[in-house]
Amino acid sequence: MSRVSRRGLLVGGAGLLVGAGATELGERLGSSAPAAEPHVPSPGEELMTEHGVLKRVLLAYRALSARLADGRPVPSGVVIDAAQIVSSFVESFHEGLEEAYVFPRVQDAEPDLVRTLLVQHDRGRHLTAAILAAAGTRLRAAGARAALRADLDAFVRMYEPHEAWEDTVVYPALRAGTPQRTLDELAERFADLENRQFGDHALRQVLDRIGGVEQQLGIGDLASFTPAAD
Amino acid sequence: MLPLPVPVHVSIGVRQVSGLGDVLVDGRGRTLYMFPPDAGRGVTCTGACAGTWPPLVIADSGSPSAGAGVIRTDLSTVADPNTGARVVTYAGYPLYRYAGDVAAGTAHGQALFLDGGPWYVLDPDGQPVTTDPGTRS
Repeated sequence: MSRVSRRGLLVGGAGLLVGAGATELGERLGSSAPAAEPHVPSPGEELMTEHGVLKRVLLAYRALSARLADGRPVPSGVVIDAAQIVSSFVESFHEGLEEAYVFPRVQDAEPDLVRTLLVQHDRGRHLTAAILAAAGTRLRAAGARAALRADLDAFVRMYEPHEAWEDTVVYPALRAGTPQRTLDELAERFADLENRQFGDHALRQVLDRIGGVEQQLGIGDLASFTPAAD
Repeated sequence: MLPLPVPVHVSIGVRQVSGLGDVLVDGRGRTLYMFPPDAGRGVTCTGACAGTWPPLVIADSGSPSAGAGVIRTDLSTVADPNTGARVVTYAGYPLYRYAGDVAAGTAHGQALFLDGGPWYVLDPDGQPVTTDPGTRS
């Protein structure tokens, strides 16, 4: 079995939503309404799930930047863990999928945007290289801490709008301009490539890795982001 | 299969890139790279990797042409697992472009460690140039 990881999580999530919708529908239409089939995750859904991983790394980078700004210790292992998730899962895989299968299909519709996204992928890879190099040094000198903080901040500042534009413009353009049969083939291809590159349960493993980073930075509890009630 | 166009005619030339000297380029002046893990194994950059590093593909019926400064006898081809066509090689190295080089005359992929290894430009003698221009943060 090769598609348990991402597909299992996505279909499982979709199944919950479908289940809730089916309950409401059943109440309105009666119990004879047929059960809906869980849908196969589209390429856009799969890519946006990967963006969710990136968003969680960006939160970790923000927390690291705040520690650097406050003069608190920064565990270099956490910086390396977070940056390696970016390098292996986001830059070597997710962005490669976009460059291989997505951007060529929206290039004619959005040439300037695709060019900007390609440039930003390159800048991100170089920022990651700089972050990994900095994390391999002693992070006590003010200059080294300031340089690392500048790179983390630059990465966050670039990738927040980057992934927002991809989610709201590029992936919808892919969906609008691609026949359903091709989209289905892309979804299968993405899942197959992920499993060949990372093995079974790839998404679960990367979520565990980012969860470990979050725990070490004290941002592992989603509820901690909820503002206090008045 | 990757949605890569497979041309019949491919030309290889030489262009000077700042900080690296003369390097191999394709017919549009885009810098070409080699990938050390390919040594003795052919094209190993497949799937998502080949999106970031598109192989310089050529149709089965085609043969690459050498521009000024290029050693014609160093040009050959090897099977491409991405497209089923061929990939141009130089001095035995499969050649790739980098998606981050959006214009001719840049080599932003030089010494970048990505997809399991470093990527290097080639000089006209077929030698990898391992100079690291440094991170550009």
